[in-house]
Amino acid sequence: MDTVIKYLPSLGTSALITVALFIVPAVCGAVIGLMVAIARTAKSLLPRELGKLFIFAIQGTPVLLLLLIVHYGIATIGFRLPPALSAIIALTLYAAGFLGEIWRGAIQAVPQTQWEAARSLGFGRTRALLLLIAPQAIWIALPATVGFLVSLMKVTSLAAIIGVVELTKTGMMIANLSFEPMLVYGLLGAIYFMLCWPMSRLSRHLEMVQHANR
Amino acid sequence: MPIVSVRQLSKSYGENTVIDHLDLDIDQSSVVAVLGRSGSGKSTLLRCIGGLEVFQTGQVACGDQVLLPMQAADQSYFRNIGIVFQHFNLFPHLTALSNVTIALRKVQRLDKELVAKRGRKALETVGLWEKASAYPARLSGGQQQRVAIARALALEPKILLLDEVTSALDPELVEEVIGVLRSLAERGDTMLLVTHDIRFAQTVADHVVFMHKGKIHEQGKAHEVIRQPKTDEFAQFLGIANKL
Repeated sequence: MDTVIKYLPSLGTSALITVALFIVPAVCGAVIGLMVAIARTAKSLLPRELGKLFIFAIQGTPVLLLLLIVHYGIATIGFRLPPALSAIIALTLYAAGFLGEIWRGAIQAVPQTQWEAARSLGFGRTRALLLLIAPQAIWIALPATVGFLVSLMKVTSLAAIIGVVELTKTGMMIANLSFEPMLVYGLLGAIYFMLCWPMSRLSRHLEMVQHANR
Repeated sequence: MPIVSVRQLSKSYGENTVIDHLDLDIDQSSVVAVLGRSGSGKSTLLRCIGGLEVFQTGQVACGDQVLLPMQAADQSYFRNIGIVFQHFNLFPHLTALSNVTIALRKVQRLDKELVAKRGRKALETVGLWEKASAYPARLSGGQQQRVAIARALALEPKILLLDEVTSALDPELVEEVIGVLRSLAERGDTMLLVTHDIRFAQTVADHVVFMHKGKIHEQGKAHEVIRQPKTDEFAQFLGIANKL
């Protein structure tokens, strides 16, 4: 118990770093992912193929490798990035690749007849997507999006490999110092759970609100 | 001057010709029913007139807008047309009123007062103003189809295109849709309806067109043509359909 009390402030600080490593890539990845999803569902072949290539490259690369490529690979061409920035860039690419594909699937899951109805009312493709198709696709994509975000939160722990002192790295150091690995790693597990659980809870709540409104 | 004028229209999917050099005029305030078996090309004809299909030869004119071969309809083409689909195609995340007014707000960008007025008028026309705040899933099939009709009416189109609008409904719900369409016909709205239901065509339309293998086989005043078919195909269609 003394160990817990002694190291709790450091765990708290590093939990904030983990949260930052989650939020920034989640937001930036969502913006890029949305563009990828739009490109993947575009009428023209070029954006569709470029979007496909991006998703293929990101989904085919382990996150750890992405981290290593961004941090050490880019350094070989003269740009030495701070570990935290490298982690944010790598995790943003990872999030964009997966969110883009989840949202592409959700957009295409909205029946084609909805596009047709929008067109018959005079809507152009972009306005139909934003005002009529996306609001339906959001609900289709919600469970998979939350599932991915929960996994992104846990994947932030890989940033420890390139030297970011986030929650897992701090836990490893405390475990080495205190000789109480079970207690420390158990505590880490509880903290990760507390960070992920509200997202799952919110998702379920939103789904229930959605069902109640229909 | 007809509202819709179709000249030498042909449409095929690969080797399969669905519409074959077809001519058709639809005058103002007339209600034309296109009858035919499945695969006769009647729905494709409606979709070509509605700007939802690209065709290979011929021309479709609707009001001041003209569609030429291999040309996708642009947004301005849809100004003259209201389309009602077999499966309603309402937007499930919008209330009945929002479904009816969304194009007025976001496409035509009319001012709020006018949008509210036209939305209310359209829903009142189909007798569903009291359901204005209901989502589509809370409405019966007949009510959903009436909202879909109101959505098309709110655009104040020159012609209403109705594609098998009663086919997805239970028999008792068909009556309420027929009632709405009859009242529109009585007030002088121009409509083209595609159906395989002879009774529906007889009840609502004043002019009947019978399509077979992508061509118009017969056409004329509804009560005359249906009572005295001139071609074997139409007689057979009426016989089979009547038995059904």
